[in-house]
Amino acid sequence: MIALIALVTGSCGPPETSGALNGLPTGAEAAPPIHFSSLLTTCGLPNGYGYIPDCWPASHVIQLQPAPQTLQGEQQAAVDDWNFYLIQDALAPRFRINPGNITTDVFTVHVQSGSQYCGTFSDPGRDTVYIRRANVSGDPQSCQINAHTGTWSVAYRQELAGIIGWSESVEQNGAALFEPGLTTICVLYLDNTQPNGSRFINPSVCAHEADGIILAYRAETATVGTGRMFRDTLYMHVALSPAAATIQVGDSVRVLADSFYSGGLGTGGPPALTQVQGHIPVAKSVPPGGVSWFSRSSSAASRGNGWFIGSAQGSAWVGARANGSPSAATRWWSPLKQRGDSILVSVNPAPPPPPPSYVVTADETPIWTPGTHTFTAHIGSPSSTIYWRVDDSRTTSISPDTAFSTLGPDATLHVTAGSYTLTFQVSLSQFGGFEQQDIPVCTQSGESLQGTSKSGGGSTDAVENCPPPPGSGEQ
Amino acid sequence: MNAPVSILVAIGAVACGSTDATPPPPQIEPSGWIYFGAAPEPGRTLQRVNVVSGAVEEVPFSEAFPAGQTFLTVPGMVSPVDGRISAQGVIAGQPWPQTFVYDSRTGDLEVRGDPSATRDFGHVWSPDGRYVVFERHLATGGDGRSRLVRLDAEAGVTDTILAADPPESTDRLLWIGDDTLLINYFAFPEGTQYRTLDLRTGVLVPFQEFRHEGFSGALNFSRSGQWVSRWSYVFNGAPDATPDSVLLSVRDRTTTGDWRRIRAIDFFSTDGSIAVAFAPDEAFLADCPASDTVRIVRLADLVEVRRFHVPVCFALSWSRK
Repeated sequence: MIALIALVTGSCGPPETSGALNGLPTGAEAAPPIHFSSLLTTCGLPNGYGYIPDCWPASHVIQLQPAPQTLQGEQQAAVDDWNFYLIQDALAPRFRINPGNITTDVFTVHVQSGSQYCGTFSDPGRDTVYIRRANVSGDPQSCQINAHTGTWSVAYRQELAGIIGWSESVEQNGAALFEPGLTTICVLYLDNTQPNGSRFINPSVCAHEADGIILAYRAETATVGTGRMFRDTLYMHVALSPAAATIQVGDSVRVLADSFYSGGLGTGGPPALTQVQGHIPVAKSVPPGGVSWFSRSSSAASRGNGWFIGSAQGSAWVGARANGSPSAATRWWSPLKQRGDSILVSVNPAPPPPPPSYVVTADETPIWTPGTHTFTAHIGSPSSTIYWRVDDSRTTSISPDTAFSTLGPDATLHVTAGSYTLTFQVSLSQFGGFEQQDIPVCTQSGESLQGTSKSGGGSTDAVENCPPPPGSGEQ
Repeated sequence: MNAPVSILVAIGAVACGSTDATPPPPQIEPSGWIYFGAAPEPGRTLQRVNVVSGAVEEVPFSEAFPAGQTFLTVPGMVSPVDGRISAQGVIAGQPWPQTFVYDSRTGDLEVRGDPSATRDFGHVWSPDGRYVVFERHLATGGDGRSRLVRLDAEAGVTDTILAADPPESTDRLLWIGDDTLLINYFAFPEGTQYRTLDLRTGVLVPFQEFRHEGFSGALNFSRSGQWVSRWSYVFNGAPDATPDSVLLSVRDRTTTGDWRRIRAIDFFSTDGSIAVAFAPDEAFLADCPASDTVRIVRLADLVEVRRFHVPVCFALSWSRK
């Protein structure tokens, strides 16, 4: 009942366009449970198209029951995938793994172990997800024969589609809204033809790519008429040449944008949808001023009219976005308008830095204070494995006192009080090539630390490199 | 790990011959930063704890990230060498989410997106901090095929290192040393298996050392591959659909030593995480015994040496910086 009241008073408004942190509400207060089934009574199911973004209250978050620890990584990945697309298009609702202090909206049952899974959701309630293991004979809770299967994460991802309203029958029911092929291999609909004959659950939320197009198209035409979808020319890409370029810092390259063309949402080979009657099969020349140029990195700067100059070592995606208004016969795919198409420009690297003057340095030299100190080896690269040998001058019969390796140049050691010398040897190989550096330790109090030694000789009190202690007045 | 032990013995011999008590020699201690976090949710953003001081701080995102953290925290997304972060996120001036490499201390940001990609995820740094490997779905694809892409963070170039065909899933990625990737590889009808991809030869083969138990995150390897930790299901009696518990243990792969138990959890437990991260120096291991606790264990003797209270212990990465 609470859900119905919420719908009547606050639903069917536009989705949020900007939210709190990351598009999710910051409050932890309980939101009234809202399920797709209750939205259905209000918003209906137009054209068999189950997900009705405008019908979900803006900022609504669906709280999901946490999975056991071993499966939480899988659950988080599935939730993150859906939120990625929902946030990207400023759509409601969003998902969250329930932190435990608010009401759970969707429960998960039949949590089992296995190497592959299938799933279902409760219908019409859509408040429970069932993730079952596959291929277990004699287990009545395991997947039905011929179920589509995948990892726990992709099975859960598939069922989240049902929770927000997707149906698996968009193409199956013959709705003319979609041309065949659009959703064949997407998460919401799994047919039994190749490549899905392998009964593999598509791991991507590719249905939402189609949704983005539909939303953009609807925004331009104000209607979504059955049979009208994809009947006009929809330009998805701009052809750029060269396909890639390598330049020196200070040099320039010109990129040409010669035509807009239609892509497809097919298999990556010939666009699957270009073969369908009435669908986007054309290309046209880019008119003057038809694109705006951009660079996505400081390594290359746009000089206008397709010219780019290398400004720093590295690489940059440079490209063009569609720069015109849609007309009756020309529609822009929203990604072409927003992100454009790009090529990669590599800018040659700068010369390497000069070699360091010290082999090993410390965060304090000499070491005045006992305790934890960081020592840095100045050999190799930041990612080199460094082999260390450290000798304490007080232990005259043992050399070195300790040996270890580090990833990168830094080692953290605990330095005890006293006046002695730590002799470091470092190498990029454990078998030789060690370079040496002495670092004095001068923490002993109550006596001069400069150049003294105990009577009777020996070098265990090696303080030759110690400067006068602070406050001694010596120079 | 044998070196410090032998040194202690030797030092003891010296001390017996002297009237002065000789302090213990320097020993390697845990250092660096442990990064953790969860989903891009309020209060669950990427954070880090200073292993030496115990100070916990939220990783700052510059104005280049107008929406803050918009990506899921995954193990290995922080470079073990220098703490740089790689993921796909919302970046100012980029209407489409892009793969990036970000230094949170300097603010340096490199955008490494590809206009053909709709989704990059599971970014994992190589042990030497040079490469980032991640899974990519293409805008013109949507065919379910997983492309594994390797980004050379120094040169800023990417190459496709695996394009699964027919459609199969690669899921979580792990580095074993600098030349091998361990993949949670799903294929029908076998289900999920471990497979290794040799980055020098491009050869993908089943990994026979472990059997996949249906959840990613079960295995973790230290930088060189010397140490491995494993979460494994425990069944009392014949294996059935519901394990009784889950056991975390560790083993030195360079020896013939047995698995050593670290801890066990109830299968249905939700308080805590199975996240594990090895220290870059391979002397320590961090885990999440509770949802708000990061713990450090010394591998030589499995003694707990540090424990930190954190907002949420999930998806650990251990970095020198």
